[in-house]
Amino acid sequence: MEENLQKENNFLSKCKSIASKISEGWHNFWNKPKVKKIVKPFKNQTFVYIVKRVLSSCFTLILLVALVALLIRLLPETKFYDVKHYRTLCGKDELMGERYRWSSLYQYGFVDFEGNERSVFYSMFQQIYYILPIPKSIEYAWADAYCKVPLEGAAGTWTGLIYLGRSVQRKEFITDMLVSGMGISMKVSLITVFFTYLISVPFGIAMAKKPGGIVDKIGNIFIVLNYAIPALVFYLIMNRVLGDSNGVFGELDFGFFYDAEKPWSLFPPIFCVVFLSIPGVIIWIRRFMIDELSSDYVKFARSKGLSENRIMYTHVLRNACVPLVRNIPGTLLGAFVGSYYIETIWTIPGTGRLLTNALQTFDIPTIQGLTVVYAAISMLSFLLGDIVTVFFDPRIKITSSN
Amino acid sequence: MAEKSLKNIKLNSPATVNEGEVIVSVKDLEVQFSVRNRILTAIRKVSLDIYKGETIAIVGESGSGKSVFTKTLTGMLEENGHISGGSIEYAGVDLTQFHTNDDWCHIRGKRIATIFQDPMTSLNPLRRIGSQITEVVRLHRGLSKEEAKKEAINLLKRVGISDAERRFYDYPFQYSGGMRQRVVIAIALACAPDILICDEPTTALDVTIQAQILDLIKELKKEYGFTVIFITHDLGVVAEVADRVAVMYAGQIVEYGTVEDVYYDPAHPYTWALLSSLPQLGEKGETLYSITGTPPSLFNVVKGDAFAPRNPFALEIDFVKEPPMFKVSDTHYAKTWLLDPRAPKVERPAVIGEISARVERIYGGVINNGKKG
Amino acid sequence: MKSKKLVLLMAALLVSAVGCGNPDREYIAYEAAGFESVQKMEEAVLGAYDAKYQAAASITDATKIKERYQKFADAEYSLIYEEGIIVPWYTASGYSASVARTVPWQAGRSSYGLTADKLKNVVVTNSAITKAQREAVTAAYEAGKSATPDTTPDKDGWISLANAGENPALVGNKYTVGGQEFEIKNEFKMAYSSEIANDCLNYLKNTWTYNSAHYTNMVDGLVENNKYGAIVGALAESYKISRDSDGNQVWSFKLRDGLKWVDNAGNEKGDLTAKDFVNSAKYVLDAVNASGTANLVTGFVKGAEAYYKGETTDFSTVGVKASDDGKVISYTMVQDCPYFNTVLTYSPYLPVHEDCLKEFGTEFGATVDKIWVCGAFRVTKHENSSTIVYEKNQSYWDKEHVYVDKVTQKFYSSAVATPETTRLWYASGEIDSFSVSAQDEAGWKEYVAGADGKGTQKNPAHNECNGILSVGDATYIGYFNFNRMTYEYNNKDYIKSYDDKYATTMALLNKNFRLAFVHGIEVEEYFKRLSPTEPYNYIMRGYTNRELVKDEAGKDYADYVDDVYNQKQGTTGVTLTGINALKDPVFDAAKAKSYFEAAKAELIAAGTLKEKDFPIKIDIIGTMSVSVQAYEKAMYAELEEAGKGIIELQYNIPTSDDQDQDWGSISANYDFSMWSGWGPDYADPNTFLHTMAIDGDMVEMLGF
Repeated sequence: MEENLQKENNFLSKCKSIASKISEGWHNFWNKPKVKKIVKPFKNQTFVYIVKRVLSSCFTLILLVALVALLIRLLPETKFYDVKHYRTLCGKDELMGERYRWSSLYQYGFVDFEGNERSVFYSMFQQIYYILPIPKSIEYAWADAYCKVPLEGAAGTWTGLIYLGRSVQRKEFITDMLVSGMGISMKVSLITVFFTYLISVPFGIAMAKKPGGIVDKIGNIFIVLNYAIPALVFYLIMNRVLGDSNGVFGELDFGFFYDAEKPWSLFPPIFCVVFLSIPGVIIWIRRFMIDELSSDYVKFARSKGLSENRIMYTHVLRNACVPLVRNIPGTLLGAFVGSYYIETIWTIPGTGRLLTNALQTFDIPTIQGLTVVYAAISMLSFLLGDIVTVFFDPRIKITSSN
Repeated sequence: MAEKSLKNIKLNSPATVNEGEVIVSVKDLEVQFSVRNRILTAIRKVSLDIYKGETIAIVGESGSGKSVFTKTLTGMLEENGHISGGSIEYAGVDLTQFHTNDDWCHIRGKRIATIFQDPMTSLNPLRRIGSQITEVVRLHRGLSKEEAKKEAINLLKRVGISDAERRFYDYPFQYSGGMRQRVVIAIALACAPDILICDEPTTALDVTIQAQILDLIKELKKEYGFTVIFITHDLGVVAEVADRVAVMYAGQIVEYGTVEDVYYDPAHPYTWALLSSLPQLGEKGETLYSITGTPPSLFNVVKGDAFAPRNPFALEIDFVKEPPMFKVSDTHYAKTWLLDPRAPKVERPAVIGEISARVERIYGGVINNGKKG
Repeated sequence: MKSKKLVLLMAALLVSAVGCGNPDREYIAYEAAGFESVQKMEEAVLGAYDAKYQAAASITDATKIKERYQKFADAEYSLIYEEGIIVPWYTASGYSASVARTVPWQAGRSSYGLTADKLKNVVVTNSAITKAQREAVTAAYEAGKSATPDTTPDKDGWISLANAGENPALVGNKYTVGGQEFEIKNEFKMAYSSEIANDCLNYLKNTWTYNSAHYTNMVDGLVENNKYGAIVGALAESYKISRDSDGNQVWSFKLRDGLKWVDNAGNEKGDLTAKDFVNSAKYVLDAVNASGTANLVTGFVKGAEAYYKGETTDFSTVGVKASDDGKVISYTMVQDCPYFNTVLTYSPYLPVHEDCLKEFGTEFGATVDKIWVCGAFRVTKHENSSTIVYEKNQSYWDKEHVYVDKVTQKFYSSAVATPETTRLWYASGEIDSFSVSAQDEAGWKEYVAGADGKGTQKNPAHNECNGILSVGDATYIGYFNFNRMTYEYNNKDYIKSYDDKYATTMALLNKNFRLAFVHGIEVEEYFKRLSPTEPYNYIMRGYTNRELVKDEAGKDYADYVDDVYNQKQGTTGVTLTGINALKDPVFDAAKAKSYFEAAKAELIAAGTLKEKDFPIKIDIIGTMSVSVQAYEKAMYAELEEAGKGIIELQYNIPTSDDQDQDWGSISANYDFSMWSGWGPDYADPNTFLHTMAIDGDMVEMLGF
C-alpha cells in the first residue's frame, strides 16, 4: 500500500515537473525576441480586425460560389449545348452526338470525360476550387472533333491562379475580359469621381453656409432640374452635340466614339456622368454640413473668435467628411459595374456591358464568373469603407469587443 | 452690406481700465426676437455696470433672459434676434454696432471668452484637444506651431489635467464631463481674455466635479485677473463664487447688489421667493416654499411690474406702472414699488431674516469667496 | 365496391393532374403532331416540293439547260405558291442614295459568294465623289466590260484565270481611273452593326454574314469575282476540266507560287499548298464539326455525302485530291456541273493548314488570333461591340492591289442609333461612306430631294450623292418554324400553354394556312420606310434572283418562273422579280382571308383542332428599332385583319442585338419570321432551291 502510494507520488511529481518544463519552454518560446517581432502585428487590433473581416468575406464568397454553382446545376442541361445540333448528330451517330454533349457539359462539371454524371457537390467544389488562389491548369479546348481528349500543352490548357470561367459567347476567359476592360473603366470612373467631388464639394459648402440664401436657392433649382433629365436622353443629346465635328464643338474634335488614340474623346462621356452625378453628392454634402453647423461645438468655435471660413473648413467639413468618405471606395470600385449606357453610346470597350450582355445572351459561365467578381468587389468596398471610416473618425475604434 | 467692415476698429487695450473701474457698461439694452412673425422682447431695457476684476453672478429662472443678455456681449444671438435699442460700452466702442461674425472676431476669444453649459458637446469630437487649443492660440496670439503647443500644454497643466504632454494628443471622447470642462476652460483662457462669461458651466456636472470646477475658476481668476460673469440659476453656486449678484426676471434686472446685500437683505419680492425656495436653506420638517404661477409671455407688452401676478406682496400700482430702480445702498438697488417711501410696510418672509443664521449653520460662515462675511 | 371506385377516382385525378395540369411539361412539336421523328415531319412538309426539285436537279446534261430551268421553275413556283413553305418578299435591289469617299466600280461584284464583302479593292479618297467623277469612272467601267479573258488552254491544258479587268496600281498616293486622278487615304473607316459571335471566325463552320464579312478578308479561296462579276483566279492561277477513269468530271486548279500563311500578328507560319484544301474538305465533312455549309460540298463532290453521313470513314473515297508537289488540287464531281467554279467562292472551299487545326483544335476561329491568314488583311484588334481593326497583310499575293493599310470598323448599336446617325458620322469623318436613309428627314431633304424636292434615289439632287443600283443578291423570305424548340419571352405576361403550342404546330402544318401568309402580308408598307416614294423598288416575289443565270438563248431563269406563275394563276405579264406597274402582284387581302377560312374549316373538320383553339397564337420576332416598329405593324395589318379570330400575332421584341441574333438564327425563337434570307452561292438556280429541299441548307430555320 505504501509502496503504491509512493509510486503514485513519484509519478505525480514527475508529471508536475514535466508540465512545468513544458510551460516554461512554451513561455520562453513566446518571449524570444524574433518570435515576438513576428507576433507583434497580430496584437495590433486593427490588423486583427482586418484579417478577420477578410477571412469572413472569403468565407461568404465561397458560400456564394457554391450557391451559384448549385443553382446552375438545377438548370435544365439543354441550356448548355445546342440541342438542334445534338439531335442532328444523334440522328447520324449516337456516340458522336453524346461526345458533343459531354464536351459541352464537362466545362460546368456536370459530367467527366467519359460522360459519367457528377454529383451536384462535385460541381460546387469544382467551382470553389477554381476561385481559390492555387496554381492550377484547366483544360478548356479539345483537339478537333470532340472525341479526342482535350488538347495537351499550352493551347488547350489554362494555367493560372484564379479561374473564373470562359465566356460561351465570346470565347474569351472572364479574367481576360475583365482585365482588358478594367483599364478604361477604372480610368473613366476615377476621373469621374474626382471631378464630381471637385465640383460638388465647394458648391455644397456654399449652399450650406446660408440655407435659404441665394446660392442655396439656385443650387436647389439646379438639382431639381438635373434630376428631371432622363439619363439616356441626356447622353444621346450630348453625344450628338459634342461629337459633331461640324457643330459648335467641332473644333475640339471629340468625335462620336471613344478612340484610344484620342484621349480627349473621353471628355463627352465623362462630362455627362459628372453632370448627372453632381446633384447626388451636393445633396449629401449640404445635408451633412448643415447637420454639423447646428451643433454645439460650432457655437463654441465661433465664440472662440474663429472666422466663419475657418470653422467651415477645419471643423465642419472635416466632420462632414466622415460619412462621405465611407462611400468613396464603393463608388470607385463600382467602375466595374460601369455604366451600360455610356459604354454603348460611345462604344467604350469597358466592363460595364459585360454582365448585361451575358444575361441577355444567357452566357452562363460569364454570369457565374462575374457574379463572383462583383460580390468580391462589394465586400471589398464595404471593408475599405469601414477602414477609411476608422481612419477618419477617431471615435470608432476597433476593440476586441467588436 | 454697404457698411464697411468693423474688423479693424480699434479697441482700447485692457490696461486702460484699472481694477475696480467699469469695464462694461450696459445701458437700456433691448433685445428682440422675431418668432413666426411675432416679436418677442427678451431683454426689456436692462442697464448694468460691470467692474473689472469682479465676479458678478446673474441669476434667474429659465427664460428670464440671462443667457440672452450675455450673448449680446459676444454677438452670439441667434439668427432671428437683434438688439433693438440701448448700448453696450466696452473698450471704448459700442458693441451694439457689431453685426457680422467677421466684426466680432477680434473680441471673441481674445477679449471676451465664453464657457458653455454642456461640455460634452462643446468640443469637436473628431479633433484632438491639443489642436483645439492651439488653434485659438495661434489665431489670436500669432504663435508658431511649437510655441503654441508648449502654451497649450501649459494651459492643460494649469487647469489641473495631469500628464499634459500625452493628453495633448487625446480626443474629447476619451474624457469625462469634468475633464472636458477643464479643457474648455483652458481654451477660454488661452488668450488671457479680459472677461470670462460662464454660462451655467457646472449645471451638467455632478456635485463633486462642480466644486472642483468652481475652485478652478476662482484660482484662475486670481492668477490671470479677468472679470467673470457667471450665469446660473443655482443660488448655492452664487454663494460660492460671486462678488455681486444681479437677479433677472422676465427680461429685466429686478435687483442687484453685493452678495451680502442680496442674501442678507433682499429687497425685491422675487428675490425673497428665490431665497425662500433654496433647498439648501430649508429645515427638515418644513414645507419647501415654491413660487406659484409662470413667468409672463414676453410677446405681449408687459404692463406694470412683470412679477406682479405671482407676487403675494403686490400692490395695486404694481399692475399699472413699472417700478423704477430704487436705491437701497450705494451698492444695492432693487426695482420694486415696495421701496417707495409711500409704500406700506411689508413683512418679509420669516426665512429671509433667518438666512444669515442658516447660512452660517450650513456653510459655516463661508460665503463669498471664502471671505468671512 | 365503393372503395374501389374511390381509388379509381383518385388515380384518375392524379393522372390527369400530372398529365394535363402541368403547364411546363416539355413540348416536342413533332411528337405532339404525331410524327415518329423530326425526319418524318420534314418529309411530310417538304416532300412534295422535294420531289419536284429532285426531278429538276437530276438533269445535269449541259445540253438540256432549258429543260433543267423549266423543271426548276416548276419546283420554285410550287414551293411558294402551292406549298406555301416560304414567303419571299424583299431584295435589296433598287437604288440607294449613297454619299461616299470611295471610288466606285473598283471592287469585285457578285450576287453570290463572299466577294461582295471583300475590302481589298477599296480606294478611299479625301473628299466625296461627285457626280461628274462618278460618270467618268462609270464610263471607263462600261468600256472595260467588253474585255474578255483569254480562254485558250496552254500546252498542258491549263486555262488561265488571269483578271482581264485588273485595277490600276497606285502611283505614290494617286489613283487614276477614267481620266480622273484621285488623291487617296490609306485608311478606311466604316461602321458595322452585327457583332462577330459564336465560333466567330471559323469559316469552315459558319454561315452567318456577320462573320463571313470578316473572314472573307482574311482568307482567300481558289477564285474570286472581279469587278465585272467574272470568275478570276485568287489563290489559283489556272484550271483544267477533265474526266477520270470512271468518266466523272474532274476540276483541277493550279496554285500560284510562293503562297504563305501568316498569323494575325503577321508572322509567317507556313506555306499554303494544295493539301490545305483537302484539310478543309475533311473538316467540313466531319459531321461532329457541325459545319453549316457541308451541303455545298456534299452536293457537288463525289463521295462526300457518304463520308459525311458516316457510311465510310475512309477519306480517300472522297473526290478531293492534292497533287504530290502540292501545286494542284482536284475535285471530282458527283455529276457534271458546268458552274462549279462559281461554287468555289464560298467558305467550305477555303483552305486551312493542318498545323493551324492542330494548334487550335476546337478553338479554331474562336477569337481573331486563333486563325491563320492568307488574305488581304489581318484582324489585329477586336474589342467586342466597340472596334474591329484590320491591317494589311504584307505577305498577300495581290498586295499591290490592296489600296488601304488599315480598316477601322466602329460598332453601331441599333438600339441607340437613329436614322441620322450614319450621316452625322460621315460628316464628322468617322466613317467614309453612308446611304441616306428615308427616315432621316434632314438628310433626305439635303441630299436626295434637294431644295425643289424633285430628286429621287435614282437621281439625287446633291452633287456628292449618287444613286447606286445594287446587285440585288439576297432574297429575304418569310418562313415558318414547324418544329419549334425554344420558347423565350421577354414579356412575362405572355405564356404559351401546351395547347397553344399544339394549336400553332397543327395550324402551320396546314397548307392553306400558310398560303394565307403568302398573300396576306402587305410588304409595300414596310418598304415605305426605305423609300417613301418608290417602295415597289424592293418587292421580290420569287426566290431566285434575276440576272443570276441565263439560258443559251439569253432568257433569264427568272422569266421561266414568271411564265409558270402567269400560266398557273391565269394572269399575264406579271413578273415576280421586277417592277410590276408599280404594285405588288401577290398581295391580295381577300385571297388571304379565304385561305384562312379554308384552313380553319379543314382543321376543325379533321378534328385536329377545336373552335376554342382559335385564334392561333403566332409568335413573331419584333424589331428592336422603335422607328421601324410602325412600319412592321403596318405590314402585318392586313394579315391580322384577314385572319381576325383565326390568328393572333404576338410581337416578341428582343432586348439587345445579341438576343435578336440568337433568337433569329441560333435558337429559332419564333413561329413565323421574315428576317432572314438567302444569297446565291454560285450561278445556278440550285443554289436557292436546294435550301428548302429535304436536308437543305436552310431547313434549320424551319425547325428541321
